[in-house]
Amino acid sequence: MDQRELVERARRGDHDAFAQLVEASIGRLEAVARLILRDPELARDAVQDAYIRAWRDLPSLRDPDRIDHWLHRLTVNASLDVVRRRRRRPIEVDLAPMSSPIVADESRHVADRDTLERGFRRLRPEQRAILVLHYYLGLPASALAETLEIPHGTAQSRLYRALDDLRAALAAEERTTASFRHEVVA
Amino acid sequence: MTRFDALERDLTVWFDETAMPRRPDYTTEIIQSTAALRQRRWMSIERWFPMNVVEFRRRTFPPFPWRTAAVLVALLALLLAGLIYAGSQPRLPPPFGLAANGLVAYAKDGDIFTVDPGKGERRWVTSGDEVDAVPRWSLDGVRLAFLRGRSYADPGAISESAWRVVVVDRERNLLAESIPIAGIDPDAFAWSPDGRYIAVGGAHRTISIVDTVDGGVRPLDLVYDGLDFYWRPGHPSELLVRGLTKEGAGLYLVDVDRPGSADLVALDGDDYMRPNGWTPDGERFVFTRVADSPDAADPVSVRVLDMTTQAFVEIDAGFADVSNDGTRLLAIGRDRPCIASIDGGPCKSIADPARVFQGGFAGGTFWAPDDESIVASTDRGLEILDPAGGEAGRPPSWLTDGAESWQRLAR
Repeated sequence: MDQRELVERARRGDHDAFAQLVEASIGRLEAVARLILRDPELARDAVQDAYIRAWRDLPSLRDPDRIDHWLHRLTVNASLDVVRRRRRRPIEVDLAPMSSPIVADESRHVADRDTLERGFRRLRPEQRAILVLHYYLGLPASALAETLEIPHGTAQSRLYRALDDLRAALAAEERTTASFRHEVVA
Repeated sequence: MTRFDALERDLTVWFDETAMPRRPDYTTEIIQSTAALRQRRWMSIERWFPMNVVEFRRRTFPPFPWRTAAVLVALLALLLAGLIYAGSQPRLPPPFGLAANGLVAYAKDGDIFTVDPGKGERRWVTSGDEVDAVPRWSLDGVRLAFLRGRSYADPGAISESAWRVVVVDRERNLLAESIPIAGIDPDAFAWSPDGRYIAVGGAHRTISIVDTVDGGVRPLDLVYDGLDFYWRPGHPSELLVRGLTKEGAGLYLVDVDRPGSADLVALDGDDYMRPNGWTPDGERFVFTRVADSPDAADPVSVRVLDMTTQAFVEIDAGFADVSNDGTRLLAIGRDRPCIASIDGGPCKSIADPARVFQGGFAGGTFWAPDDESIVASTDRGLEILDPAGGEAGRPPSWLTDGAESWQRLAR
């Protein structure tokens, strides 16, 4: 059974079909939420919220072929909602790598990833989301626009702005690190 | 070159490395929890159609942007409501400057009337046993104030009785009424620019400030030295009066909201200063200098004083009345009304020299709000004068019973 048929059946209340859709997409959505939120527990909350909304509102989905965009949008929105709900509480920062990639120059690459991690965390959640959708899921600007329900030009400008802000955040991180090293040497 | 020149590539790699998509251990929990939930009711009739039909319809007829339309409709409704509200509000004239002519108020036989100069229609504002006198329109033309007392013999008696200040709206509804004030000088009865106060001069050399909202009365800490007084345009609480302090008698500028604020503007000295009014910008004040001795070579002159530089121009006439637009003065020159520029120069006669014009008291002459005509008291009664010097002709019938205050309307 293809995805389109699953969606049509799920729209008509077939929960088994919906379960198959969940199994097929949850790995991707969980990764998206985790990349945006940088916290596995928050990501879990966001993914649960996204699927609950998906099941409840599935009958309103007009085009089954757009199920992926729709699920991405629900996940992003749920992630941002989680941030908003928990803004009053400090989010635990997990500085440990989320996985252990095998790289040639381990020490150099870890340093880059730590800097990336800290710089990425400096971005607003909305900016993190658009970077994840574009550079992780590979959505082009037109798909970003559709997923986030914003005009195409707005999607492009938000993407460039997020990237610029990330560059600035990374430069700031590098300056901080260099200053710290200088103090240690001195 | 920094390590992040290839940031976009690094970002992709970093995301791929750290995301590690996997089936989370709470997947079953999600599936079970959603199974217990009901889906929302169908939101579209499309559900009942085959998908290919829905798709065809969607491609052929793009979905109507209900949300945008709703926002537009809401904005239009707001705009419409705003326009209706603004349209329903009466446009008000500025307190100073040119305005359109409205109704003329006057007192007759102890009651207040208004007359429409255009149509000649008369309307009773007050009636009853008590005596009402000295009607004065507020500067925005919305309210009418007058004096109310228990006895009345002739206008001169006003200054010998106790009067209440009464404020009504255009529909004759009572808005405020003060406690009795002794011996009000009918010359000294003036609305403040914002309509908050009415200043009245009375017996025992007092100036009373009447609150037009609650009718409260408070005395001003300045000895009143008679004659009319004028609120300063652009300064809602500043009043120019003839007063008396230890510096002497003369013209004083006082802030009615600030005790002890009286500033001397012009000291009497050997002359006597009579206030005549402000230019509408509040920058120049006009007054008449009257020599104490009638034998003086230069017995009367009008002075236009610049309040900033204290420089003044002198005009050979007396008892001026400033036009609403602030460019001209109506004055009495050699017993004839004349018009002079506010900047000085000769005062050119505009009326019959055979008549005696009574410009020497407040209300003796006054400009129509549009500056097209002047109401003047003569020995034959009220007349309408043309500021341009045209023939006055017979007085219009609406002027027969009196004219004391001309309502200002928005132009």
